[in-house]
Amino acid sequence: METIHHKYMREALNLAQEAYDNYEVPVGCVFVLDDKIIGNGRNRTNETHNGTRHAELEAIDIILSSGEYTSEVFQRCVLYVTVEPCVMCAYALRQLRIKHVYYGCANERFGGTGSVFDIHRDPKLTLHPAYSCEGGYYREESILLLRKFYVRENENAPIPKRKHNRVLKTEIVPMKK
Amino acid sequence: MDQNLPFKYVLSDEESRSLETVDVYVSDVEPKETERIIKFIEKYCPRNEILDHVKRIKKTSYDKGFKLTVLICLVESITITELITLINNYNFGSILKPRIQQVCKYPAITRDQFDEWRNLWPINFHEDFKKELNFTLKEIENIKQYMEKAIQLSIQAKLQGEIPVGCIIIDPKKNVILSESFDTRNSTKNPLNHAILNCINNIASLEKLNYMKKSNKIKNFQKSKVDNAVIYFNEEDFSSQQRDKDNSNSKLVYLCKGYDIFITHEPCIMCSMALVHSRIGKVFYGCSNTVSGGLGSCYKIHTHNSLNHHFKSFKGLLQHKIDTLLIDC
Repeated sequence: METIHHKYMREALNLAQEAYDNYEVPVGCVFVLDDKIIGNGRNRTNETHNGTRHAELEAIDIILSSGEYTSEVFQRCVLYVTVEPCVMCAYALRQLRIKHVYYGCANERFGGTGSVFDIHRDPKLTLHPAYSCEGGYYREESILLLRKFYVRENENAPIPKRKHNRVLKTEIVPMKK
Repeated sequence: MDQNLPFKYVLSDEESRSLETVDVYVSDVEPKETERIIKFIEKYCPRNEILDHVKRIKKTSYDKGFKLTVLICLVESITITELITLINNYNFGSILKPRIQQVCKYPAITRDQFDEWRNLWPINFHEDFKKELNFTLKEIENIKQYMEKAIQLSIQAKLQGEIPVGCIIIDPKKNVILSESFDTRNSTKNPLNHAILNCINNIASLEKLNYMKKSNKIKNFQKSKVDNAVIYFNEEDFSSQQRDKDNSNSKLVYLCKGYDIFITHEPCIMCSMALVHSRIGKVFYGCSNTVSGGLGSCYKIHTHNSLNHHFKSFKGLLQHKIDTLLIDC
């Protein structure tokens, strides 16, 4: 069923595609305030030579440097991101007191909101409130974009791997509940 | 550690865990039968890979002579009845009398673990761990000076109304500072502008300039304008030619690979993971951060198994000095 979440997640997916087209890890996101997108971002780690320039941090910096909003705005914002936020972004979002996060697919290697750690709701972290997080919107599309990326060779790696033997797998295991 | 260091290594869970045991079958054996028995065990008893760190034979010495005990297999891999049947089938019934013994479950990583755990049953140990944790007097002196520099930056931050956290990134091979920064959350009104992210952003700006310079994308290389006004860098030390020479084996300089960072306070979870993403070398910090620290206090992100980059972290460096200076931090 088409929901408002699908609409925003499609916007995030468009940004992930833009990242892919620019030889970046294909992850995109939008921040939504009162049913309006106030900022978006996509991964720029290769372009910036900076492993921390993930979609979320890009969007946050765009929103804060626009001069239109203060950092309190995030308390009323919902994030749509194609891949589960990594540990770094998960704690960045907690510091900003984000209202809610919707993501596409899980991030088994770095995921900070369920896969590797539960940064979003760990009661040990008392400085900032917990936030809720929900995955699965356009999950297959998000996974396929990532797979396409990893089949392609990354010329920016210290020793680029030759990947001509790799083939794109298209079957997707159902989501763990 | 034998050395008296002005900082403490932040142990991973594996390195700090205490003795955990697992039950195995063992039997005292006649020395002259040992070879034959071991052949039998290796051929017919269950093989237990999780015991690769445990020695097969234990030798107990007495005033006059010694006793040998041989490890057969894990208790969980076979019942005692099955084992005795197996032993009898191969006619070892008279010389193998299995009994249950505890051995350590995990390989010892640190010397302390080894010294304690070997008392139970002999185990293998490779002293790789210690080598990396030894520092020369000269290195220790440099490390202290780098932290002094980070402390100066934190004082500067405090004077400017910022949260007093300072940090520097250095190249330990050349012993030069590449980037200096402090927390700018207050002045930039961006709660994510922690000292470490500022420092990493700065390194990235420099990397990008060097890359563009090398690929002739810009003709006139000018000193970079970086977001964070307090950061400056030494162009000479950072010239791409110099770094190419040093990295002749690797194709390109990659993020913060091989660099060390000095920071007055334990990095928060966000910054700790940023250091993983940046492939940092070593981390030295002063005060622990019990509410959001990612390198020992709340999490041990630097040693987590599922993350793709690990690094050594050291804490408590000049901690008293930081505590005194920044008392109202």
